[in-house]
Amino acid sequence: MKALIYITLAVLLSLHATAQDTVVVTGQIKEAATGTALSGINISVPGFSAAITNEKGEFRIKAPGYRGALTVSGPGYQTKIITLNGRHMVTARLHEETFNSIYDHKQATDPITTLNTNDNWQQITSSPENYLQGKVPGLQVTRRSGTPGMGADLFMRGYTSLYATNRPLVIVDGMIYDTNEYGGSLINGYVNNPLADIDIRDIDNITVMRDGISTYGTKGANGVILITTSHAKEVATRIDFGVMGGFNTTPPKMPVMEAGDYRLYLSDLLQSSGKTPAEIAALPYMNDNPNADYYRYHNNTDWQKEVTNQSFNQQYFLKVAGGDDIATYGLSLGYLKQSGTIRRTDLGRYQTRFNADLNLSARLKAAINLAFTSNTQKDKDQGVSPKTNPLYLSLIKAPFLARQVVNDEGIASPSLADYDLFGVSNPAAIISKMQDVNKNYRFFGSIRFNYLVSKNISINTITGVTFDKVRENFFIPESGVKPDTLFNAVAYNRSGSNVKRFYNLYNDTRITYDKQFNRDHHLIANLGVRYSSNNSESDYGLGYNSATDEFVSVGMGQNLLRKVSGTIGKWNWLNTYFNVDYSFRDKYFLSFNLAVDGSSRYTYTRNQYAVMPGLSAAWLLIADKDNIDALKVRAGVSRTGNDDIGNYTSRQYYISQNLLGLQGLVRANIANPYLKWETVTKFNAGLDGAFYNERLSFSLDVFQHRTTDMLTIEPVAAATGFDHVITNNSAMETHGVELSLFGRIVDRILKWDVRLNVSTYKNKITKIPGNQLLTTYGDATILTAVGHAANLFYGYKTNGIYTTNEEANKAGMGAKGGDVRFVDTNGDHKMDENDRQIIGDPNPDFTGAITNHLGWKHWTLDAVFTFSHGNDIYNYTRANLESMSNYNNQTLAVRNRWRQDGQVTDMPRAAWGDPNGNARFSDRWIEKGDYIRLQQLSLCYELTLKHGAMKYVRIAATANNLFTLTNYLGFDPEFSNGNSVFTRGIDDGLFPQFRTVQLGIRMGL
Amino acid sequence: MKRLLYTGLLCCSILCGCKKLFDIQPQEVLDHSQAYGNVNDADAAVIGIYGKVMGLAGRYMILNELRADLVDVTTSTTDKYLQELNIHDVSTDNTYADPRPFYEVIMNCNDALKNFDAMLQDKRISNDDYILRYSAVCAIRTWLYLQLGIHYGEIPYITDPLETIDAVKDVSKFPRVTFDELLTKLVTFTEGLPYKYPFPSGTSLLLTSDGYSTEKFFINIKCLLGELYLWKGDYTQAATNYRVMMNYADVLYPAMNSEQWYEVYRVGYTANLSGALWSNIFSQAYGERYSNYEIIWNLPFDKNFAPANPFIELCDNITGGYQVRPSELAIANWNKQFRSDNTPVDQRGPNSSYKYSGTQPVIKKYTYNYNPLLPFETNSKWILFRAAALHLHYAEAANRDNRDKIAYALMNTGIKNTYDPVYMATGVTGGEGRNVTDIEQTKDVPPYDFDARDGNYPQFRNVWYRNIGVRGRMGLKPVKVDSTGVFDMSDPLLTDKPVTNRPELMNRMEDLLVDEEGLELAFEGYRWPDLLRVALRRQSTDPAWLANKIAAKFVAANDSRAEAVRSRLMNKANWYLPFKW
Repeated sequence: MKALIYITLAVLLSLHATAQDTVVVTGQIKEAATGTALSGINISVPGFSAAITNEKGEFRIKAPGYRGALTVSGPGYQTKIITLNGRHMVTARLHEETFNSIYDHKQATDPITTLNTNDNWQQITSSPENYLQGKVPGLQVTRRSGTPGMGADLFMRGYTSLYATNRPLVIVDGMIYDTNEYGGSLINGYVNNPLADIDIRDIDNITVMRDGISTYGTKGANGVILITTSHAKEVATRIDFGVMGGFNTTPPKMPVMEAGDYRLYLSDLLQSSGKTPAEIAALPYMNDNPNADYYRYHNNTDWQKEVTNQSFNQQYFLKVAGGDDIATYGLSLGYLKQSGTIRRTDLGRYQTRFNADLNLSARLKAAINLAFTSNTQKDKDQGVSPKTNPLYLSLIKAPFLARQVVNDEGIASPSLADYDLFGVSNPAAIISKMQDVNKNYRFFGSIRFNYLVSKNISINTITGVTFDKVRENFFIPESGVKPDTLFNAVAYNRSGSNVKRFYNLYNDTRITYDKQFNRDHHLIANLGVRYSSNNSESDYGLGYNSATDEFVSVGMGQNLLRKVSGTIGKWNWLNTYFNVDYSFRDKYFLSFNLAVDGSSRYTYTRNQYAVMPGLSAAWLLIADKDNIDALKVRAGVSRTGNDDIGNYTSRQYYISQNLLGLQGLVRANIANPYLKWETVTKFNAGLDGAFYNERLSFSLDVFQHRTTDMLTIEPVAAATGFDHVITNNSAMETHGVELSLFGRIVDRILKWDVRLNVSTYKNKITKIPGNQLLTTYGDATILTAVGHAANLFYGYKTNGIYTTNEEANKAGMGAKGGDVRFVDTNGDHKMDENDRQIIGDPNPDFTGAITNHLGWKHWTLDAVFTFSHGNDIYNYTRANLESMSNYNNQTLAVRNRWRQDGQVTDMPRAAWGDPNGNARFSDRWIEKGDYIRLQQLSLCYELTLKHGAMKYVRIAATANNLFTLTNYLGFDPEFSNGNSVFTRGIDDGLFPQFRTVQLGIRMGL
Repeated sequence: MKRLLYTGLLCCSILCGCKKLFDIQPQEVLDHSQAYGNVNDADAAVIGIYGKVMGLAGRYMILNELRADLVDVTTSTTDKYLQELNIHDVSTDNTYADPRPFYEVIMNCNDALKNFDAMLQDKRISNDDYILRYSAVCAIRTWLYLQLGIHYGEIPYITDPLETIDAVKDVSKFPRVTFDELLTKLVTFTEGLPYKYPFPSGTSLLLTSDGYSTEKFFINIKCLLGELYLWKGDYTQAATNYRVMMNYADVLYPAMNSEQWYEVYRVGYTANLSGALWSNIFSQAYGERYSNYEIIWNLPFDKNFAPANPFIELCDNITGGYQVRPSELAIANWNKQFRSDNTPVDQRGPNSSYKYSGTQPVIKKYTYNYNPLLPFETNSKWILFRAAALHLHYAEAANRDNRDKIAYALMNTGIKNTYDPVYMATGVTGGEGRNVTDIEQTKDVPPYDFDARDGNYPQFRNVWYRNIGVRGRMGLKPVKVDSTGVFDMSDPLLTDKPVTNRPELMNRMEDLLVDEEGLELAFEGYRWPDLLRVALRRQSTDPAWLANKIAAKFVAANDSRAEAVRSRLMNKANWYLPFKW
């Protein structure tokens, strides 16, 4: 606050100061690494004078005074804004162009990270957000699963909402890029990820704005990611061509029992169900004497091997850029084929992008961006899908069964075995016969005009459309798969078809005023309007019982059983925004933002508009003095909103209700005409510093987010006849710290850069109706209570195993020896819901990454380590694999189960049906999710060719997920099953990440 | 700063002036501004309400039967909430303590009523169409409130549709009333309805859909009024309203000479519903002729439409969950009946109301034709009111209105026989050859005026001559009150003995009626209300009546909790479920 007063005073004083006389500044520019003098470097005082360095790197320039700043730039080198601080002579050492310099955001008042993606071509990624992993402090990028193209869930500074979206807003080339899913996927566990339609190779740079985004109104609550795709940088024609090929290794196996151990386990289990040893011995899979069924039940199949495999990737891309003084263009084409490590899963993609810049007149410029991407994804069900998730089935399937049908003589037939006597589907049948196909395409195109009205005023308008279409089909065959039961039939085979469409028309028009007053004051102001009209539709059909497994479409199913449904959504958003950036002598910076939003989601019923102001300031405490290049403090306060409250939630409406085949209407809701956006008030303070010619730099931010008017599903009295009404009646807070440290450890011919990003956040619910809310996902219960983080695991605590029956009886909880001793929290000698406690927190203490970049002559080596610490994971899969209550195969750990009185072990007894609830949601299944992973390692060699048709050849070897250090017992501690806070940290059986090694070559013509 | 704000607001107001930009009607649901445009929309509201009512079937059966004496939980049920209901020890988190499903339908009724009024005002509906639909919705709402009163005692009586969150927060819209106050309100309200009869033909709600005529889908308002008065204790009015429906064949068959006219709603002696064929009421397909003699209000469950038939899950022991079963007491009650030929067992019991599936007794009434080998053939009828209930409840009212003989007649062997001195003296009818001008009729004032004369010289085939009585229809021996202390038995020749203790006679006759209601209507959702009504009536004289009735179920099953249940029910507060807000 004090800083603000000083700044204001300084501004007022300076208005009365008179202009000084012209002075002369001399100096020399050198290259940072080698110290060689640089010639041809531009030196300028914007709007005043300009000069160029001679062959000795020296320059001489007129300046308005010794308190201003010089802008230094040159091809291949970074741009610096050097504050004179009264000096008459300046020596500057420039780093290479790609150097991530503090000068790039010297004027910024808000936490902003810009990434130049010049290393993008060697990436092994099917979705650009994976690239962001660990590179932006405060942005937690969690890859969803090992399915190629599914991308990652992005959480900016924790989360701001319980029920509305937590996704950051993505803007591509000035236009909102909608990343939401409208209507879910029919493929269990699959997420359609529109971001994957942007090829990382087409991206020039990515700017992540964590704050200072009030102008995005009710879309900015979760931060903004600005993506700029590549445009031609020069008029000369350039052709780049790249080919990459890679190899994916089979994911590590989960240690489950083999036939011998499994049979022993079954015998224990069946005894607990009350069967006599004689009855058990008579079971076909227990009978070791020669009998007709012997070969059917005496195998030792490694089911995991049947569903996973190693696989291959390939990618091709071609870029052509060029043009003339009037028009430049960039065209890119790409093809990608990435296979998963679950058999018969892959992603195929064709993508094309055309960007053009037109100088229509001296004052009028235009830019065109057109992109079209088409994807075909072959997938399998994952997550909680016990009948059709092949990976899960491969874990629980009895190992003594065979993959194929076996006759009495033990000869295997080519046909696959049907679901077994335990009711478990054949995972091999799922792999070979089940279809899960997602085909989608997106067109994203815009045209922009920029008209310079006068020296200081310009008008900028962009109009664009998004057209997105998704088609999904699935078919679950009858053979090999356990049938499902509908309310009016048994479903032997099942089919589904889904079409989702999204259309968006977008316009952003603004007038910009840019003026430098009196040399000291620089003002840029924008006033604009954004308009977005959206239309989404999703229609799906489900069919059952087609005549044979060859008829796989919905139309082939029985007429009577067919189901059709869908959703339609329309909404409009109008955002009027104003922003002004002011700087004084390149030392004091002030930024004010304001948006006023109207939306069909909340404006109509009560004529309410969202007003979102934001103010931030920065003070360059020290600039270019001694060994301090810059030291800057920043602070800001802003308000943003979240309009993801449903399209029609504020209205009262009716839905249909059948009476036999007659259709009637019933009330669907209690309307809440007051319903409005969620408001997120953000406070941010930061400190940036760079020392020793930027060899060492850091950026530190502390923030607090206060969400108010948070969307709540508020319970209402039973006598209303409704369960809930949607209100804006809860609130939460998130605060945190982000640190980014950079060091150029070696700066000679060999360059070694190390960057460490660490971020942390703490979340707390401050208001919620009823003070707490319990939700469930999988078998987990999640507590959302005032004073705690929004999503804590809420279950039973355990305290070992009752070693004897006597001990169990003494406890008086109805347990037996070998049962888990649950903690009786309230001491009522009864295990019930009231004994639940907080048993885990899926929110990490800190996450981040260490990135290394080594450059030596033509070689570069990059290594990215990502890490997470302090987050808990509920291992749902393991809970099923160690429940010891049914026929499912179990992990090797259950060999250590309790078997007799006095046995001391941490694994309870096998008990049919789990009468004591040993497998209930408890801390037995909560594990530490800490990990550190070598996420990427890439080695690149560049061959510069002086002659011939080729300009350069680059060769790269890249590896992803080379190793992961973790104690987590599941497949992978990194997974994300949704953008909702309520599903965080619940490992429900998604396909794991896998290791990929890729070799690539890129050529320039 | 302020100026900037104003600039922003100004810009916005100019650009956003077009309010239409923000008014987007939903297309996947129906916005309230689009609903209730004409009579078809009014019909859609009624259909929606009845669609919701069907969702209450399982809950209706459980609350009304399991809490009473004829249904017990099975040993295999793991549903602790059902177990709690059974022993009348209901925790507040019991899902059955949640009245929300009833209120969900009520709220739709309130919404329809408010909008019907608005439609009438704007002339979107004609007055004729309005009164039918308005009354129909009022009646079903009243029935729902009666159910709520029976189970929860004191409840909020809400008539506002609670359209927005403001209404939900307005406490004045949730007035709490006691059960007695509720009954007063319901009686007044229902009496004030503009139309109280079944829909006249030509009403657009009367149609055939998926093979089902909707004629008997809708609650019968006259029967409802009878029930309300019976609960309220206004017995003459109760009898009057019931009587309208007992005579409704006059309206249905105006020629007044067919078999239908004689038998519909009059509990006649048609072979198709008597004796062993009594079960036709439940087994015959929906809309079949003879079961129509009996059924007044029912809704069909069809295998092709939601909601799924809930009774299979509750009752069946092979494909269902076998949650509830006939109580030992219910089985014993049927077994101890004697037919007029002195053979034991009431045929309404084994293989009609219940059956043994394997060794387990299974309630059969709702799933009469259900075959576990065809698990998806789940069609069945949910009968909500039928003629036997009408007669027994009428008899209950008549008895309280000092007409013990009419009650006796309708329960036992019918009007004709009871008002035939020969039959009463010998047990054998005097035949049609006599002059019956002066007998076989009640000679009472309406609604107690029954004429059952059946003679050839002079010819009489009067309207009630086929009435055979509820027990008579089953060929069962009549049940009689213990005459000791209630009749002056001194004159052996007198057929109508003078009554010496009218209140005691009433109670004894009522006990017989209650027992008969159990035999005839078991498992159909009448039992707990029947017991509660009598218990409330006798509360001052016999506070243990209900407790004893329910405890008998546990005694008959050798269940050690009998005393605990009895003592809980000695406290009237435990007669009602906790109301979960």
